[in-house]
Amino acid sequence: MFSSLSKKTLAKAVLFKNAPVYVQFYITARCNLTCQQCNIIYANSDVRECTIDEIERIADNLATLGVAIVLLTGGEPFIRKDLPQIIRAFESRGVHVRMQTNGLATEEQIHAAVEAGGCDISISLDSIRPDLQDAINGEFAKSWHAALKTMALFTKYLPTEGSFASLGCVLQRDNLADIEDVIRFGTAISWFTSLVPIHVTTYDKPMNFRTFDQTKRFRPDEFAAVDAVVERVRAMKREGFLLYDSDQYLDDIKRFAKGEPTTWRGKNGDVCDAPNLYFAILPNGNVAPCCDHRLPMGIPTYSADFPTVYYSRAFREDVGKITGKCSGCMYGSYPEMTISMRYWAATWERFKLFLAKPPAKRWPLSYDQLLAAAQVVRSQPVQRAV
Amino acid sequence: MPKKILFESAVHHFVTAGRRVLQAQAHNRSLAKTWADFLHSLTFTHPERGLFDVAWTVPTAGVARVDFSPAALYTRGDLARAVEAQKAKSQLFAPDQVAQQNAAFFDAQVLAVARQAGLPLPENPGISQGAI
Repeated sequence: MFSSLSKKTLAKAVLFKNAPVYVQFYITARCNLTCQQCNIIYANSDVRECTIDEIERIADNLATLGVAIVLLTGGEPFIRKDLPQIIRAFESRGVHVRMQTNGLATEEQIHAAVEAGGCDISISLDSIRPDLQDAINGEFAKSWHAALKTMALFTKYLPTEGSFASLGCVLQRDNLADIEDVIRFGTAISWFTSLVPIHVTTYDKPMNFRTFDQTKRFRPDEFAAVDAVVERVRAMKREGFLLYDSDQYLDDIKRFAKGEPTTWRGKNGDVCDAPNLYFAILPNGNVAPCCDHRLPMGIPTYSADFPTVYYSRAFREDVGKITGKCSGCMYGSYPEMTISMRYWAATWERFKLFLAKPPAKRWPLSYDQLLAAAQVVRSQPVQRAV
Repeated sequence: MPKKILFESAVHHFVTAGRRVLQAQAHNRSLAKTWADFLHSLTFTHPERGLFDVAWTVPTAGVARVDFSPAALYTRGDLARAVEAQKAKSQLFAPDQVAQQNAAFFDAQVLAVARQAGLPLPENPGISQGAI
């Protein structure tokens, strides 16, 4: 699944913590849902989308830098009509593409994306109860069913060897009782699950990915339930359920939900590893430390001198001024990259995951089969944490 | 009900402009705190398309209406006509004029509301050329 370029960068990152492994490219802010916990589709609406010509130059530069993985995200990436060209731009240069979607893509779009080289997909799924998912998605009726249809289509078009499929699940007040079932469902259909705790902020501290809705914060009387769910999820991982998250990350979910400091930045002076291990790209092609923050100046990643700028002291200092003041996040990929590269137990866990024989993919699965799998999980008489 | 995307976007960019002003006052603790309290007290409603009402309780309660329809949000780059439109304005491979104009627009809105709220206005309001 990973090119030799990607593998080389991953190895350098483990050894030197100074190789850009992972880039989140927000190729659009447009979206066809308005999920309750999301703010990024509003935050990135002020910049223009860059064109495919600019994206080809971005791909050149990311390949020059040896970026291992680019996540194509948004907004809803499948809303861009040129998504297949974007995927091809990166894959043809040895930069592995992970696609992300809310699950409303058409069969034609999915087929075209896979044909263009996309073999790694993450679909948002916060519950296996249709009514709850539709509500979380912003009261879009049948959006859960649409997501299942999209999942079925990906199992139809993705190769069973060398592909990766996962569910992205936001752990929040509304779906605390559903987290275990999402993981059970994912495992039943050979999809991993990754958890991200909800991120909330206030108007005096706008942070691009974080919702301003204070009702989404976990209340103190809910902290014990969060702990119980996380511990149950950890136990499920040990039992063989397909959960991507490391133990340290799971521990930090508990802390983050309570508003306590997390530990994953501890080995780097409580600062994250942006831009050394990861960074973000805005829809207009400008570099950003991450999804929450922007640089005060515009530095385009399509510019011919970006690889030089990236390694310059001035750039690192500019990013450092922002990361040094950040209270920290739990956006899945950033913490997990740092944890994987800086904590040997997690490095070993990740290495084993990649080396181990991947779980057999019982694909393709039809929409009706996915519906049946969800029904089986919902009705299982298992003891749940909450 | 699905959220109103343009309204939510306008709110985000309004408070982000407010944050820019706040950060420009970081050297003046008292002023920075007043701005932070002002931003923290804001509530927003959406009376009709292209408008939002913003209410505050600091320094004294008030409400203002903002017309955000001039903001250029969600500028596409994928369709051929979108690409041609960007080319016609010399936007490709160039500093993002759309983002700059939006930043200036929301800076002006936030300062106008701050004036109405009776907030002390900083000498250098922190209008950014490139918070993009």
